[in-house]
Amino acid sequence: MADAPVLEVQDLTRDFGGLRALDHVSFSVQPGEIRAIIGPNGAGKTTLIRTINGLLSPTSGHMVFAGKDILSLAPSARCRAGIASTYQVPQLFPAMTAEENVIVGAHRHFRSGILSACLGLPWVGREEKRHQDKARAVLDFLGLGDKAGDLASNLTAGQQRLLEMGRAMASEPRLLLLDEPAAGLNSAEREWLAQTILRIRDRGMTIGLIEHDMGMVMRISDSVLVLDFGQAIADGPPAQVQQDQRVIDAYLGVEANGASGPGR
Amino acid sequence: MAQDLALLLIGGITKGCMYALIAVGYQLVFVSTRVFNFSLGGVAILGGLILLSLRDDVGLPFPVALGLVLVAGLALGWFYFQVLLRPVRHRDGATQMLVIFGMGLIIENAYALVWGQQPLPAQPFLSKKLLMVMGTPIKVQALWVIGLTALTVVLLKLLLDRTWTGRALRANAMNETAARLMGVSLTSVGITVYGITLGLAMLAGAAISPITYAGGYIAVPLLLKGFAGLIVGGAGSPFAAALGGLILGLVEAGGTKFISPSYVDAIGMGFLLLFLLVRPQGLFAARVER
Amino acid sequence: MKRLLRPRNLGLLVVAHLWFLLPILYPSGYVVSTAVLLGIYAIIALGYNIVMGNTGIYSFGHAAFFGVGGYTVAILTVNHGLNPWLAFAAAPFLAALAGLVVGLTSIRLSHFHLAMATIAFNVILTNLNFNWSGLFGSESGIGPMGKLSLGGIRLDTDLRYFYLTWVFVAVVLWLTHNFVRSHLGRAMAAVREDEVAASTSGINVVGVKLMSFVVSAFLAGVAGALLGFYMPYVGPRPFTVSLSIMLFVMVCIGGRGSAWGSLLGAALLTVLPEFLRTVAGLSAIPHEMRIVLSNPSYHLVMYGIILIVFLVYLPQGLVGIRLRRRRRPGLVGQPVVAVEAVENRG
Repeated sequence: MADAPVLEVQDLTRDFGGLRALDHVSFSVQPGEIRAIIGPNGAGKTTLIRTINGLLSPTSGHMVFAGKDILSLAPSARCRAGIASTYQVPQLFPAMTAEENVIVGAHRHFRSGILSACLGLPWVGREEKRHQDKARAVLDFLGLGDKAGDLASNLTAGQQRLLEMGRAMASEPRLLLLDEPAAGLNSAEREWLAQTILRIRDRGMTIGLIEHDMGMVMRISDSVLVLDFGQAIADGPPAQVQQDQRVIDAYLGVEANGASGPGR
Repeated sequence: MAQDLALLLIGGITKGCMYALIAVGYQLVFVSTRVFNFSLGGVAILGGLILLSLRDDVGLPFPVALGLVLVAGLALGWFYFQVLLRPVRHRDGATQMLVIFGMGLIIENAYALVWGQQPLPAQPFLSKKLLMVMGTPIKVQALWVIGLTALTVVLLKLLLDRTWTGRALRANAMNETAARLMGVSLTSVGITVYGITLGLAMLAGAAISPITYAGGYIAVPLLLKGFAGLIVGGAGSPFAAALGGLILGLVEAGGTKFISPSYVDAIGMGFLLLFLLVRPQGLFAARVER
Repeated sequence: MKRLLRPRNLGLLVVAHLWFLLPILYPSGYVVSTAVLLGIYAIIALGYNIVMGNTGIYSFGHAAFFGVGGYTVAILTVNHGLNPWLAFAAAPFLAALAGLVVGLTSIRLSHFHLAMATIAFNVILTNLNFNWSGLFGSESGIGPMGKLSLGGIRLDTDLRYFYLTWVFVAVVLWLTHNFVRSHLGRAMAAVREDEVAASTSGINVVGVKLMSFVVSAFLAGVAGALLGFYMPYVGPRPFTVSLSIMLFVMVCIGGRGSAWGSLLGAALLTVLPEFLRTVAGLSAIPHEMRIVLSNPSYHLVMYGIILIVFLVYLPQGLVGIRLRRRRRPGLVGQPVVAVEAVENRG
């Protein structure tokens, strides 16, 4: 069944003064897949994600999301269009509880305006309750159910990453972008993370995954895009990409069991 | 006609020098610590009042009194950094700014308690003479102010560019950790910056007080106008900031003459807002990184 | 609402009842008029809490919106003979418009620049108030002010005005309480905590900031209208930067983000000068101290000291919300060395 791609990127280029961080990158993301983006340090992966979620503007290129050109949209508009992302260092709201953090993610689904909010109309309370229940459900799904009332700043690094994913999930996006979610996690946490990403995909979400953990990438992703010095040097199923000579050269000897190149 | 214009120019530049000195103080802060100083207006006026008291009440000769004003500014700077800001040293920039704001509040109102609410007339530095330059009477005091400002700005620029202290300050702003690793003491940087900034502000107030008044409730507008000088000129260098202050002085002088003297504050503030809207990086913008 | 414990609810109800009996318990004109002023300041403080405490925008010029409210009712009733209640209704909307203008020009600025811009607006308005006699009546202001009437009763005594004001306070308290607890209030808190994260979560940051400006200005306008019909004339003095500063200190010490905290802060700072004045009246106080204690400059000095003390030792204010102590961009909670080492432009 050939569905239209969720995201289509063409000729994306981004310069920082004299440095070309992205060099005519083109790729697409199919609905329901886990699309990994890998590459050595400095390859342009984070620049790419930030261009997709709107924090950076490309120097040139095209980007079509769910059939619409999104390059003119601000980050908040892109979220409302259905793109949600997490960051290398979790951007949470430290003074709010875990549950509140997740509810913020669902912001775009709230219908109440100033007047109805001030007057405390009954349907506003019901909407609030509905989203509270949904947030609880998301936290349970991620294994953070018992932390719902804790301040975000009191969670461990691994829990914070999951919480950020929860906030991103709460917006019910069509595309979920994860920027190195496994960084700083121990092996048990990575295992849980990998399982969780698979379960999220099974719920019908499309996922873009930037990762250094080669083992995880090879195990869970459906297709892999490899960047090096801002260029797309390989694109295909994990097994195929693993064998690609250019990829191997880029990493200077990546082994299948997960050790990566000199950057780490 | 030409004489009127010349008077206008001189008046504007003289007033502008006061703004320039404060703007330069802001610029120094921006270059080294990124914590803006909310109390510069009050400190400036305090400088004028201290000079007044030292000369009139204590009877000190002018150079000594001026020197003591500078010393007072440095000492206050030490106080700011070592005493006032010490408990909030590790908190975020906003908290530090607000503590400074509170201190400014105290200063602005404390001097009204000591010296009274009314603005006081102050003696010019050396003489009340007027110099006739090309048929225009210029107060000698005005020349003092301009000269002092120019000297200060040049010295500051030299300090920042040529001396080890200046380099330490700039390094600290760019990367505090690296600077510390290289042996830059955070404490000495802090004391230096605050000392110079407050010293400059006090000097500004002292210098201008014989032309306007010492004291009075102009602390808040002064605070803003020094800031306006920084915005108009740009935070890239002391020269830019000083020029911004001068331009503001000229704009106000023009406004006083061609619109109305009572709206001078509104005109100055309007000019600031215009720049904040249209060109916040200033006329002589620093290298912009994208 | 469900989260409020029953004992706390009951306690508040008791206090509220006692408060509304105040003019009967303490019929002194002095006490009641102070209470009226307290109510007026409380309304502005509740609005200011939304923009400063909740959204984290450091505005130091809110007295300007208060002034717009006051001058609107003055100009409309005295100069144009408009019905007082119509003027009263118009005032908050004009103040909200002023809030929109200030907001549009300032919100894209960084904290310090924004603070300066708001002070600049306040100074401009004050300058115009003091000097433009045609519109604002210069130093003596506009007057004599008429009074509001409700159902045939003229609201011209302290007692009646006390009830009018505090009914308004109660309504505003309820409205702002609901507002802060709603998803809009949460969006504002998110903007305060981390603008970037808020925007990528779908929150229109600019829109939220503007909204908080407009709402707080609206409330300041309500307060201004109330002041207008209370005073014999409307002049420039209540609307200077000093009041803006006082507002800031009120919300800071009361507790940023908390409606009750703002009320408490307003109460403390309104009562403090009166307290000092009363102390100054005691016969045991020597003459020099007496002058100092009643001097408004001294009050401001006290505000400065109180502000610093609270900032250092009680940043959450008396009531307080959970404020984070250390701000390091992007790093939340316990620093994990591995996370820092990995952060790079991949």
